[in-house]
Amino acid sequence: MIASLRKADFLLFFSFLAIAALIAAAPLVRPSGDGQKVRVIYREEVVGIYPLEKDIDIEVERDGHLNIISIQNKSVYMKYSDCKNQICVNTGKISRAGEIIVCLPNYVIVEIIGNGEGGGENEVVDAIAK
Amino acid sequence: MKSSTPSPNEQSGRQQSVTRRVALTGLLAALALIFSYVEVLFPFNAGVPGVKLGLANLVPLVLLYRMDERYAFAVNLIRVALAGLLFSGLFAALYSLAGSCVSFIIMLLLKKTDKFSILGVSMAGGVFHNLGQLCVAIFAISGPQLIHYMPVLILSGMAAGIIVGIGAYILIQRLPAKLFM
Repeated sequence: MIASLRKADFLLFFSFLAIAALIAAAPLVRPSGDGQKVRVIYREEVVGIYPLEKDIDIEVERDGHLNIISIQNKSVYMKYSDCKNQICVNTGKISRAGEIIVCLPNYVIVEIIGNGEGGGENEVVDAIAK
Repeated sequence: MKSSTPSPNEQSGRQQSVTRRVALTGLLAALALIFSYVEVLFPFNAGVPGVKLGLANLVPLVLLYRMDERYAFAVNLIRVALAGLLFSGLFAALYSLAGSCVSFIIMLLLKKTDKFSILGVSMAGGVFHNLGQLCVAIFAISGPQLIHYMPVLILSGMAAGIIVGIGAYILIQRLPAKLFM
């Protein structure tokens, strides 16, 4: 079987690896400066934009599904999700602009945006947040 | 002298081959569906939830090499539609359909170039299956941010594709050539 491998196979193998590594490394290059914000999105709706500096728990309850996002010590993590696969909870903490936590089953996206991005109109602490 | 109109014998021969093709496609689709079912019964989890082996891809992959792409494509399409409706529901079936169509087209193209072994073809198939699904997900929940999922999907697609490719390689070696006449 090893003998059947061709040069193109290895090329393909390493280019896949390279692409995966590049995309994975992309957010790390971004600076982790101050004034970053956390944007929480459900489907196409912006649930709210929160400053990364302030510790807060955000409950997102939509369509009978609950996600709890926690901002603590300038990083964000998914504290709780009632989804089946728990990928979002296992993603762990994120703290750099461009990093993201996705809960596909519940359509919830948590992302960190730089200080310039995001605009101001949604920048209120949502009523659901406590 | 050979006449231009087909003799009754040839005609019935062609009829037979059509019947044969239909029957064979049905049989193979059933086989592929069983692979899907086996994977539902014994989900293969490599620590990362949501990542699947894609055992059912064995059938179209072997067909691609041993018969022709029409069988492989038909069997794949039937399998995805049935497995989607039976095991995961309509919406998830759309994801599978996108993934497997993209994956199949890529595998077909790579095979046609004749520069890749079955392992490379299968690996690319695994990766593009995941990327096809990712594209649907990006449209469905309209989040280009999902692109951050890509590394995981590429790596898991590679692993699954290589494992299935090894399986297909062994199958092609072991199965009697007569089986695919």
